[in-house]
Amino acid sequence: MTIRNTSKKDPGYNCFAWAAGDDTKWWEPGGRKYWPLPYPRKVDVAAIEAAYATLGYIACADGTLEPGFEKIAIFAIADQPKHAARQFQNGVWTSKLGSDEDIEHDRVAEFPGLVAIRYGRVARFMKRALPQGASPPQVTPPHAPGSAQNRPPGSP
Amino acid sequence: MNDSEGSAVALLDAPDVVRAIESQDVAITRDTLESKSKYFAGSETSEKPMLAKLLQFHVLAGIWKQDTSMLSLSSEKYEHPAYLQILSLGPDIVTALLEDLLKTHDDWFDALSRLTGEDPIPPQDYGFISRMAGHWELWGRRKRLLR
Repeated sequence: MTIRNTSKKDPGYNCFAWAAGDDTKWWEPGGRKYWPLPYPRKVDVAAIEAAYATLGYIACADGTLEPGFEKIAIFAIADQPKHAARQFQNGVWTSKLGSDEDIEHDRVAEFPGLVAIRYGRVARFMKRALPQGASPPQVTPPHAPGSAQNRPPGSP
Repeated sequence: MNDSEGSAVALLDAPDVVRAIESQDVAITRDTLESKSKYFAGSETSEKPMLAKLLQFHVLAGIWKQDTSMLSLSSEKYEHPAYLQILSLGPDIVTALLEDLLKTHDDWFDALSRLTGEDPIPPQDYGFISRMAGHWELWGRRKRLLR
């Protein structure tokens, strides 16, 4: 797996926000953090799925690149969500590592070493159709925290 | 040298502590700790345990940040042994928590609420880390814990 750092450390947002295209807040279903739905009683993969469904994502089979669709991958260990990543239109994936940096990775299923231990495996893929004529960034551009770029239409 | 002063000096000299202090994630330098140590050495006896707590806080905070910075959920970060030890230091470290929060924006929100019994963050600002830190800064100034 090829991994490339694409930002500085930023505790202002996390992977669940970044997968939703939001670099302005920390998404977490509890603990005085932002969540697009009322906090769920149980924090499991289904709870994360429900949050992304509010942005128009639906479950899909895998992370294969599909032109015209944007995909995200939800990582979990024993149904406990640990991480999320988003796919660019060139097939490259982008992840935010906790409160650390953003990275790009060419594959989504094989995080190395400690990262794999912390994040587990992909438990769910989701996708949504890109608006016609939309051209999302092919790679992560240098961005200032809090910028609106990469934020999907209608996101908070 | 009494017990509390001795424990503070022992903390400063312990190799693992020095290593943690010198690591990038620790928000305070050894020089700062030593200058604080000199300050407390000349102060009232009652302040010396405070120095030990402050040293413990900064060392534990460094360990906690290093071990949990990659975690995506704060709720998992809050389960780390170093974090639980920080909570056990009690309300004496609230000012240190506030100072570190304002400097780093690391997630001390839960610890502050637990140690003070307060929650100055309005729900509409949940997740906006800068704004959340700002609410705690105002709270700290109102309580005269921050200058």
